[in-house]
Amino acid sequence: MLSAFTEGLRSTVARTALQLKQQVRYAHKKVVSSKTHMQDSPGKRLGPKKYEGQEVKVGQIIFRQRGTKWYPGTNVGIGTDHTLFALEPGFVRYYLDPFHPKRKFIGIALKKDDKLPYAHFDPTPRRLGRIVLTDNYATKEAEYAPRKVKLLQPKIEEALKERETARVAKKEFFVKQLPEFASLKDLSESELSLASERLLKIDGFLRGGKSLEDARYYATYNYKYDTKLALKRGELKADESEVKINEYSQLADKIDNAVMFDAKFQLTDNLTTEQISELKVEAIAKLESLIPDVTKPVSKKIKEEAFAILSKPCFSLKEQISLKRKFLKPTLPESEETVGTAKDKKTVVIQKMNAETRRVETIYRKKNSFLP
Amino acid sequence: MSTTVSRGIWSKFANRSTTLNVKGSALQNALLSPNLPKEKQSESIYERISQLDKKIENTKDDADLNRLSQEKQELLVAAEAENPEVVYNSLFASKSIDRTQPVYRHYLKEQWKSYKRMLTMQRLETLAIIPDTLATLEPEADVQLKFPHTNVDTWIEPGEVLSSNVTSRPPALEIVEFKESTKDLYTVLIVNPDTPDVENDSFTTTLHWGLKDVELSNSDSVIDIKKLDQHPEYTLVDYLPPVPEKNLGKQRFAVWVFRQDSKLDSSLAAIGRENFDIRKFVAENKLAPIGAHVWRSIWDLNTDKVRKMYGLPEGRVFSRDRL
Repeated sequence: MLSAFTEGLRSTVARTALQLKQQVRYAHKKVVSSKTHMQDSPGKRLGPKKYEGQEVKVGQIIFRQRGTKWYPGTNVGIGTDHTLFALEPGFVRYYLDPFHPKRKFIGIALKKDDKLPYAHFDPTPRRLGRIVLTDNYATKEAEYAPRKVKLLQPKIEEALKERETARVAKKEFFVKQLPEFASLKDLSESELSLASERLLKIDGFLRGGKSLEDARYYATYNYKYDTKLALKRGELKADESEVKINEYSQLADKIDNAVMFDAKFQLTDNLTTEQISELKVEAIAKLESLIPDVTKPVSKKIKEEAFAILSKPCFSLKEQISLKRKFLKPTLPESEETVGTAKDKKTVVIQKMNAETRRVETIYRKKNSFLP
Repeated sequence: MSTTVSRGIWSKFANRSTTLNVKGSALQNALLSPNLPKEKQSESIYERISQLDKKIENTKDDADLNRLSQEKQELLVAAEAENPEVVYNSLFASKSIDRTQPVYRHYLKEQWKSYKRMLTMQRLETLAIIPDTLATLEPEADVQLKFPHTNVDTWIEPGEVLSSNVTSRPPALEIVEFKESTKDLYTVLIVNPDTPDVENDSFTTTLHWGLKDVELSNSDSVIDIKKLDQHPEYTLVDYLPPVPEKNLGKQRFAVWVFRQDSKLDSSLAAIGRENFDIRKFVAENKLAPIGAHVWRSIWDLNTDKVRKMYGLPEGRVFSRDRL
């Protein structure tokens, strides 16, 4: 048994020895390359292009780098590849800024002896960089407008013209309307024109949200201010301007005592604050007698009467709305008088959520529960 | 809903101002329910205040008086800060609030700090009003600005670009103080640090408006044309509207508000507009900046009209490109 094993072993050893002797190397190519083979590239010529103190023009490159080894400081810009370039003509400075202790900066000082960074709390030195144009250049540049502006200009001019015509029309309307008030019958033509201009101004101020008192004050103030400016320009003499201002304030008093604007910007007889409060009390008493119970339906005639009372000039728009909400409810609260029992021609079906039962209920409202 | 109202200190107005009240009984019923947890606390604070008042009567030293009145202000805020009526008013009626009450000023200050102060400081810093006009600002008051001679009557946000038509007449200012102020004096300066200096290829500062010794208080904090008309002595330098020249870009108009210790020198009348050194002026007159505002102006189609209105010479035209 053992002899058989040794014989077999001997034969295999002999076979492998024979194989080794016969091994052949064939022609072949290496499939994978080394990791570090062929990794070099030409130099990218990075580094400083301008040195400390060197003079530069706008746009000149100061430093080429990968990443921000140097940061852009005063008057220096940075490109997409972190190239630093000059934004102002001046002198290059390589510096540190105590506000950013971990960064190095490159900046441009405007003057040769300037040090960077500039003092933190001092005004920053700036360069104007523009010249005053003269002669032909100036007139040409004065006429120049960007394309977008030029395209818009006709539209703007048209809008301005429209506004001006509307203003003139309104002024003419005031000129016609003013003599209808008893105390303004004897106004001369120039006075009428001045008065209607004043009303035009007051109208504008009121529409912008000022109170009547403020609107009147600012109208007078603007006139006085313009007259003073005319005096300053030398178009008027001191005594002339004084006379003008006096005349205007007298006219303003006369107009203010005669007319005012109501809530809908219509001219009416002027009311003093006492008169207004008296009229208010009177009107509200009338409303209360007209509609004694606000939960009861009202007829169309009563509604119109109530509206006539509400539109009196003693009420502001805010007061008109709040009184309307109080006395003329668009939908009356539910009561026996205003709720029907079944659907017919005289009722309106309304789906309503009942918060207590958490169910949607169908309610038949009679037509008299709505404002006619 | 309960229909009874608390009968504690917050419903008594013998020692308290009636402006701490809300308008409308329905609202009051809803807000002031009985047994509010903080009401007892408020009562004890009011007791401490009455003790403090006695102390204040007996002290004569100025420093002590200052300290005690400061303490009193703080107690007055603490006593009312949790009052539902006061909280309601400061939340929903902040425009018509009574600014003489310390608690309302406290809530106004909180509101200001949460947005407007940050916005103003951001605009001042990004537009480099700081440090181009003054070194820095520790804001103490809310400064609001508008141009009321126009039909559109709105407050201006710091940094807005305005048409020269809008800025053609003097603005109105509101200076909202958060400390107690009964008779403080204020100086207002409007400067333009972007006036071109062609000779030196640089910029100078021009003074556009100067007001001095303007007396304001918590209840009367507006500087408008009505006030200036009544007090011509307030005007230090007349208003000069912004008239930027063509191709110079946006110019900044910085509004600085200062609190004064005492009245300014009367010899200031001859102050110059051009080459105005605001830092020197502030240092010489010992002014303390408490607030600022800024708007910007640029050459537009109305600028020539404003120049004619004020009799100013025709504007120069600058080169479009920087050289």
